[in-house]
Amino acid sequence: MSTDTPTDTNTDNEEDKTIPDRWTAKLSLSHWLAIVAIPVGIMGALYLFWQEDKTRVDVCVYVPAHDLPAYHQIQDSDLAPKRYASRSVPSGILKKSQRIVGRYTLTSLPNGKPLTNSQLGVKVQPNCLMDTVAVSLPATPAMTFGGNLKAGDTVSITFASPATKEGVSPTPTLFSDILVLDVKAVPQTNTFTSVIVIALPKTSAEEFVTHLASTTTLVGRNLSGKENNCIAKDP
Amino acid sequence: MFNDALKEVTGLLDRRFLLNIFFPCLVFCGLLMVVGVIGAGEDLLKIAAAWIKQDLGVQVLQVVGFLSIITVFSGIIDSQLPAIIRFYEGYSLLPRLATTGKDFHKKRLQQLGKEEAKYYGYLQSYYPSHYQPEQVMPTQFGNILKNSERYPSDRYGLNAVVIWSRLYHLFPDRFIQIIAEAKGSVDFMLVISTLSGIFALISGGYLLIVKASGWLFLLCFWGGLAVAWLAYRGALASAVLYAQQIKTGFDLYRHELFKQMHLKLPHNLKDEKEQWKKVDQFLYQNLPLLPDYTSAEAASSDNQKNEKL
Repeated sequence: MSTDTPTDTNTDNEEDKTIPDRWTAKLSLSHWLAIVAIPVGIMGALYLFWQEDKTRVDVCVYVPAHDLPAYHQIQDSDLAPKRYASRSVPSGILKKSQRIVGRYTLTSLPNGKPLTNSQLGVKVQPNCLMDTVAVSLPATPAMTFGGNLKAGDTVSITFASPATKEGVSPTPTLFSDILVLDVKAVPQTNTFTSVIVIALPKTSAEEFVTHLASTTTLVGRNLSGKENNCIAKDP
Repeated sequence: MFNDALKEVTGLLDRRFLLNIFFPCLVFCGLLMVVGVIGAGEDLLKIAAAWIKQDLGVQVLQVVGFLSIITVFSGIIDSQLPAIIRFYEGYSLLPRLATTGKDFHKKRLQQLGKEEAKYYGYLQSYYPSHYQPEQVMPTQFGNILKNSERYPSDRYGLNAVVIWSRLYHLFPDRFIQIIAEAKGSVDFMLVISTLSGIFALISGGYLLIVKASGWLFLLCFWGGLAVAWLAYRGALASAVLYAQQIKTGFDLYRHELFKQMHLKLPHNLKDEKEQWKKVDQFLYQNLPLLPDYTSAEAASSDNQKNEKL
């Protein structure tokens, strides 16, 4: 009955007054809807799965064979092929192993998930990350060249100690050819703090840490155009 | 004063139209577009990115065009609301389905009627009297409304269908607002249920034709039907409240119609039933069986006496 026009269709025939004893009287229209909808849904889905299977064109995508830690250089053995139907391949992913092997991870990556460009750093020479440790430095805007420093850059890091009481300035300590693995903006309460992640040779790690606490850190980049030996050229 | 009243009424109508019809239609059309794009194998994010890159003027034109289409579609749905309600009441079902639904509810009513004391409250809201199985409707929604339709007839012997449209104009504004809100809630749920059902059928058919993903088909088809069913269940709860208001309206204001028609108020229930029968025969069949009119003063004095009695 609507607000303005109530409706009534009285049907006073005998059949309407009888209490039915048919088996259909056990099911309401909601039950019947479910009885129709469930098989129709299953049949429709089976038909579509069958069609998908019939017209399926598989694409081979290389995915991590196991969980990979951050700043790990990816080797052939880290990858495994995974087949996708061409229409269900996620967009923007790296399919070929040549485009993945040699690059390092920028974050920890779960196994079996396709990789994207933004998850990987540049391709580096095979031995470049051997015997190195990933060290992160809190960075000022000056250290990141006002935001121009990026992953894959090679920098020199200089530690300058303050002058002694006698006015003698100690010789600065220089670590050259350091590969920048990543430059990140880390959110803080009201602002962002930059962090530089570098690949530091294990042999220099102890000396590096000794200077880090008590000296001023300067980051420099060679402008002579000399290329870093670590960065592999993409064919 | 009239302007203020009119403004309030149109304000209420606009709000009702927006909430009950326009927004469900907007979501319905939006979802259909999304399914259309995904079903055709297009990348939704790429299309969204391409749209964002368009000129602002083009974007505004497109949004205006889209909203215009939604408004027209909402207007159509709004005009079909009585038909939608009748469908859910079970009036426009295929004969076979109607019989099946009636069979089920008759059987259920009979079973509940056997334990009337236990299920009295439920029976008073959800079904017509179990002594009148011929009044049972094929759907639960129809039975709730049928219960409210039968109530004035069973209690006072008046024909709700004939009297309602007259009585409605005699309700106080506050009461009309309460009824309109209850009805709005029913409309909202039924519109959602209808659009979800249509969405399930259209998107399911489309995805089968374009041979889209089976999972997407299941999501749209079963998901749409599930939402339709849930909304229908929600409409039942709203319909009980709405039916309650209708019954209240008859209980409280039916005598206003006698006053408005310049008829004496009856002395007791027996007289009242007799008088409603005459009014019904006059209004519905044009049989001149009405008692003499009372003048306004006499009616007022008589009515006051009756009220004291």
